[in-house]
Formats: sequence, structure tokens, C-alpha cells
Amino acid sequence: MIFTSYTYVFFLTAVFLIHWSLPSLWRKPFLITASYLFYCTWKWEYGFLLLGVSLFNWAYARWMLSRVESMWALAVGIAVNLIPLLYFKYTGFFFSNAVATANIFGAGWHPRIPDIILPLGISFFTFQGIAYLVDVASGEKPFDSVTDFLLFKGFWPQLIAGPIVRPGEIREQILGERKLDYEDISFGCRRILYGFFKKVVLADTLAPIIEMVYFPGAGPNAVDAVIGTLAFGLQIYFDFSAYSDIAIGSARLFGFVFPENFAWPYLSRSPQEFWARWHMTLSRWIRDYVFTPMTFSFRDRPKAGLLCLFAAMIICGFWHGARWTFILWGAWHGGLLVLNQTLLRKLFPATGELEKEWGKLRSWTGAVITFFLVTLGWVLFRAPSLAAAGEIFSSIFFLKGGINRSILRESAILVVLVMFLGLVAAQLYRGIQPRLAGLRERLAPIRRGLKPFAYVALILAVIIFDKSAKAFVYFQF
Amino acid sequence: MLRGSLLWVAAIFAVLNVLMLHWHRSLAEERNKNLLVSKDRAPAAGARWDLSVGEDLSLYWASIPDARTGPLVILAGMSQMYAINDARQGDETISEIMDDTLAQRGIRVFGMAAPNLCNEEAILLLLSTMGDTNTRPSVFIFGVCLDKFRNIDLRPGYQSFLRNRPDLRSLWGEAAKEYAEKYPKACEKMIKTLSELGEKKDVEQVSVETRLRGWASNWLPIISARSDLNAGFQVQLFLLRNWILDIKPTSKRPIIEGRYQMNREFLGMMEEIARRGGVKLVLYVIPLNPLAENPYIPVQYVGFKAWIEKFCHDRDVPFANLENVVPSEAWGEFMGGPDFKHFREEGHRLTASALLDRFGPVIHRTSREMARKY
Repeated sequence: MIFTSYTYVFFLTAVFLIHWSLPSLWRKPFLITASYLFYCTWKWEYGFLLLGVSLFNWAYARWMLSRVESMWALAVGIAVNLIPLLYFKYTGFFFSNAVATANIFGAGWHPRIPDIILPLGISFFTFQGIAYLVDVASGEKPFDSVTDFLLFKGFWPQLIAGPIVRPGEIREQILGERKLDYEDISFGCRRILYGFFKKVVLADTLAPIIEMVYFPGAGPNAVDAVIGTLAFGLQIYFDFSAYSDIAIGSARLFGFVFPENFAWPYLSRSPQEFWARWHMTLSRWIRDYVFTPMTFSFRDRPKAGLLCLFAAMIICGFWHGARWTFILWGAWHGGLLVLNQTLLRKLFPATGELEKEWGKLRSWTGAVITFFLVTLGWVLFRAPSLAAAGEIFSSIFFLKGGINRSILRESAILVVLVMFLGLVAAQLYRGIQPRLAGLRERLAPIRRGLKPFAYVALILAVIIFDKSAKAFVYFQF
Repeated sequence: MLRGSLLWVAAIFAVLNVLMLHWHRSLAEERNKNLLVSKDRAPAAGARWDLSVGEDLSLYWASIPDARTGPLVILAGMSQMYAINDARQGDETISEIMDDTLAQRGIRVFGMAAPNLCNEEAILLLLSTMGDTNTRPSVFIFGVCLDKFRNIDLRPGYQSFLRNRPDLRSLWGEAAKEYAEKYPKACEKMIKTLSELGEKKDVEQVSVETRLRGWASNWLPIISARSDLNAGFQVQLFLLRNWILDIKPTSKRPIIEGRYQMNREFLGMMEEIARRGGVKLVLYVIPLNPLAENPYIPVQYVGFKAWIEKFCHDRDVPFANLENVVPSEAWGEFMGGPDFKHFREEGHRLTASALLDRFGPVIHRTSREMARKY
């Protein structure tokens, strides 16, 4: 069941109505059942995997309580969580690389590479499981009730592609009494509508343009490659933030407040700031569960911190997908973060300087350079292979074809540029919003009157642009 | 509840749905006008061309004359084949006029045209007709023109047609695999098309989703008018693009190299598929209004014509350049100037007559051979 499908709208409405009509005692079991129904509509067999992993984590965390001093207990728990992920996601990668390496030495080995179907959301629920065990080992109180834990782990809005919610962020909401209030319904509906708009109208409109440029053997010229890559940067932002919007909005309809996942990332003035605004719950996860433990183990050697940062980002890239392109993408961002703290430190404003007047020019140049570097990185993220990424890079840097296009029509270029400028304008508006407070106050009655029309316009756009529900980009991770 | 927007949103949406009940008919008419369809999409029985112009070919599939009872000619191409400027009652299109003439000798003609038909779509039409003994043509005539070499991809109507026919999907996949070495770009594109259909199939095959969409469409006029609204919106975007970039029907449009190459590959592949399948492929360059300025860059157009002529010569494909067979008085007007690509009924008669003149012997000979063979 895809978020932007009619089935999901029906499912959400039905679950919402039933949930709030039930006595509060039944609500949690009902949400768990609905979540497993949601998950099993894709491939019911993998529902057992989710249930198995969840029950293991619940039981293991409780068992671990009496062994918090033992690192081995935690390591075993983490390893058990990683086994399904390694099997389903990385078997093909390791196997094909082993075969390629063996053949370099003349082994002449040509076995069939196993084609394993990746369970939806496995990367997310594995990370969540690991985080839970680590938190419990660090003193966090585990969930006593299996029902509470199953809801924490399986609640469908965050199940497939995040936000990666931590126990501490949601424990009180799960344990406490949740109430239905108008603000929550309004907020939830609004976020869901924004998500539908971003996905159906913006991201899905860009998708065919990018596919044309990035499909194997397409042979794009520089113009095509630049526009295609810019389009992908926009698409992945609209697509993934749309998913987060719908997840956050859906959760709110049941009284749950999820952490935000995006904060206008393309407004970032340094690579470091970018990672504080992009896929925020993953960045936090990588920081707290990969980078911090690594630096802790090298605490005697402070300079190793940069190496840890680089390694953590490679792991982040590898988490995104079992391909060398993702590993390189992680390395690219790791490199940028290291440079941000060393050689290029003066190029980007430090976090504390962002608001200072004198830093304004540096803020702008920082934002432009960061956007350029992040966009270049998207080539690695989108290209199906290293060779394809190389082809795109060579088209861009050697200005293949001059100003002539080889693939894209004018309308495609126009669409990408309009969306890009729209996003820039929205971000600029956001920047000057505080200065317009007086004007906004005066115009408040008009704004209130126009709001319903704006929402209806968004609904109409979603209906008109909807071709058929297309899978979210982040489903593959 | 009243202090927020939710109730107002629901109310405005409800009012819009009521308005849409009245507006839908004119939207649909507008859409037909934009597709240059001058005939009603009459009942499928008795239709002699795909009146859905590529939007729902399956509706007219049963109207294709039975190839088992007599030779069949398929005429495929773009909007020129069905659009009639200043249409009058009883006007006929190229395929109907050819059918009138050839039916006397037991050969039937069926038209399969769609606006801006590209070569990937032409392959779909060839494979779909070839793959079924009832519709297997003896001759497949395809009208080509340079600006269609700017287009790739299947339109949504053809995508659904391909998605709903497993046999056609497997033919499509086999062709893509078989010719991958010789026509790499075209085959890669075909594989991509197929894999995208696979993704959508997963979604659409879920009957709950399909039923819900149908149900929503029955109850909410806006959803039922979705495709007409979408078409109207696309036209507005098209006009906006033209205004921003100052594009007119006569503006010179250079070829887009990658797309041009891919379309050439598609055409080469189409010829091989037809030859191996025992179908005679016939190509012709479509007529253009001699008085209207066309959007082609002269040197590129000359190069294209030379290439296609050589292509047909090298592969023994019957070919004719019909660009001058329709005199200027037989055309009409488009966007305030002379229409360079669509003519009045007279143009249809002249084109049909030229096709019969040039290719009549090939059609008769191939049809006789087919009749003997099967």
C-alpha cells in the first residue's frame, strides 16, 4: 500500500474512525493490527519477519537489563538485528564482488547471483531495533508491555521509510492517554496534503525527466546531465520529504508527534548544516550510534575523529544501498564534512556565525557552494553504476555538446528550472518572513480567508496530476 | 470546527464537484478538439480506425478486420491520418478511403494513428497486430516525419494497452532482448518501459485500488473528469511554454541528437521485426503544406530525407516521399496561420490515392503471397 494511493486514503480514514470510536483499552492492539495489515498488503510473508524481529528486540532488551555491563550481550543483540539486513540487502552485493574478485585472478567462476527480494523498510526497522538495544544498554528503560513495544516498532507511518523514531521520543505518547483534538486533525490533514502535493505533482513530474537522462546508454550532453541531476536533487527532496510529511501527518491523526525529518536542507550554508537539515533522524542515528561510539573508542587520538566521521558517512552511504555508487556517495559526503572542518573551514560559516550580519556574504556563497557540492553528489546516488556516474560527470565537466541538448526537450528544462526557482523563492521567503511579521499581521484576515481555497487548489492539483500511485524513491533503502 | 479551514475546504470541494457535473461535457469536447478528432468516438463496431487516437486502443481492437478471412493492411502514423480540417459530414480519412478502394479486391485497411506517434509506439502497434492471427497484417504502412523523431516513450493509453496484454509484454521483452546488441539504445528504452509498467502493474493490479478509484470516480465528478482536466491543464502548460520560449508552429526546431538516434534505432528494429515476422513494412514521408513554413532546419530535413531513403533502399523497404502530393489549397489553418501538417478531406483523398499509386502493387503482391501461405 503506497501512501499516495486511494487505498491508503481509505485505509487511513477507516483506521482513524474506528480507532477513535474504540474504547481506549483496545486502541493500541487495533493500531498494531492495522500496522501489520498495512505492511502485509505488500508481501504478507515478511510480516512474520517484522514480528519476529520485534519480539526478539522486546524480549532481548528485557533480558539485557540484568546484563547492562556486558558489551557482549549488546553486541549479540546488534548482530541478530543485522543478520536479516545483511542477508536480504547485502548478499547479492558481497557475492557478486567476491565473484568479480575471484575472476580477476582467473577463477572463471560464473555462479548465479541470488536475486533476493528486499523486505520493505528493513533498513529502517533494523536501525530502530539496534537503537533500542543500545539505548536500553545505556540506561533507557525498556518497554514492559509487548503491546507497547509492538506499537513502537510497527506503527505504520514510520515503518517503511522513517522518520526513525527513538523510544524516548514516543514512550510517553504510547504509554499515556492520547486525545483527539481539532489542532491535531488540522495539522495532520495539512501535512498529508502537502505530502501528496510534493509527491504526486512535483516529484512524479520530475521522474520521467531524470529517467531519460540516467537510463543506461542515454548519452546525455552537458545540458542534459546538469538539468537531469538538478532535477534529481529536487525529486529526491520532494519525494522523501513528502513521505515524511505523510508519515508525520498520519501519526498526528492518532495523537502521535513524530520528529521532523527535513528543515529546508537546500538552504544549508555548509555540508555540516546540510546534514543537520537533511534526513535529520538518520543523521542523528548515524551520529549517536555510529560516529560517537567510534570516536569514543579512539578517544586517545583526537585526530582520528575526522577519520571516524569519514567512515560513518561511508556506512551511511552503504546503508542507502548495496552498490559501490552509494558507498562513494557516502565517501563524498564524508569528505565534504571532513573538509568542512579542516581545509575549507573558512569557506563555510560556522554554525554560531550564521545569524551575524558580517557573515551574510559568506552565508550566501556557502549556500551556493554547498548546493553545488550536494547536487554533484546526487550523480553518484542516482546513477545505476559507476560507469554511468562517470559518463554523467564527464558530460558535465567536459561540457559535452556545448549548449546543445541530446535528450531533453525545452519543456522538460523549463519544468525543472521553474521548480528550482520556486524552491529558491520559497526558501528566500522563509528567510525574510520574520521581517514581514507586521505585514503578515495586517493581512492575516485575508490569509485566513484564502487558506481554504489554497488547500482546495492543492487537492485539485493532486487529483489532476495523479496518474497512478508511483513507489517512493526511499522504498528501496 | 468552524474556526479552522477543514469545513470550508470540504464545502468548496463539494461546490466544485457540483460545478464539474455541468462543466465535464464541454471539457471533453475541448479535449477532442485538442486531439484534432473531428468524429465522435462512435461505438466501436464498424470503426475503421482507432477513434480513441491512442488513448484506448483496446476499445477498437475488435473492429480490426479479421486477417484470417482476407489480407489486412495497417496504416499507422500521426494526427495527419485522422485530423480533417473544416470537416464536413461524411468526410473520410486516408485509411477509410484506402479501405473503400482495396475492399473491392478483398483487402481491408485499418488506421492506427495517434497524435505525434513516435517510433517506439509504432513498434508497439506492429508487435501487437503481428502477435495475433486475427489482426496479423500483410502490409504495415508507416508515415514518418522528422519532428516525430524528437519523441520517445509510450503515451499512457498505449502503456495500459501493453500492461493489460501479457502476450504483448512478452513479445516486447523478447524483441528488446533479441536486438539488444544491434539497437542498444532502443532496446534499453524498451526494457525500461517494461520495467516501469511492471511497477505500475503491481499497484494497479491490486483490485482494491482499482475498485476504489472507480468508486471515487462514480461519486466525485472531479475525479471522473480527472483525465480531461489533466489534458486541459497540459494544453495550458504547452501554451505557456510556447509563450515563454516564443515557440510558434513555424519556429525552427533543431533535432535532439540522442532522441533522433534512438528513433532511428527504433525504425531499424521495426524493419527487422516486420521482416522476420513476414510482414511487409512500407514507409513514406508524409505530405507537408508547400506554402506553410515548416519547423525543420533545412539542412537537417534534407539529411533526414536522404537517410530514410537510403535506409529503405538498403533494406529493400518500399518507400515514397509524398511531401508534395497535397497542393496548398487542400490544407487548412492552425493557430492563426496555414496548417503545415493537417489538411481538409481533399488532402486525405490525394494522400490515399498517392499511397495506392505507389504501393498498390506491393500491397496486392504481398496480400496474394500471404493468402497462399496461410
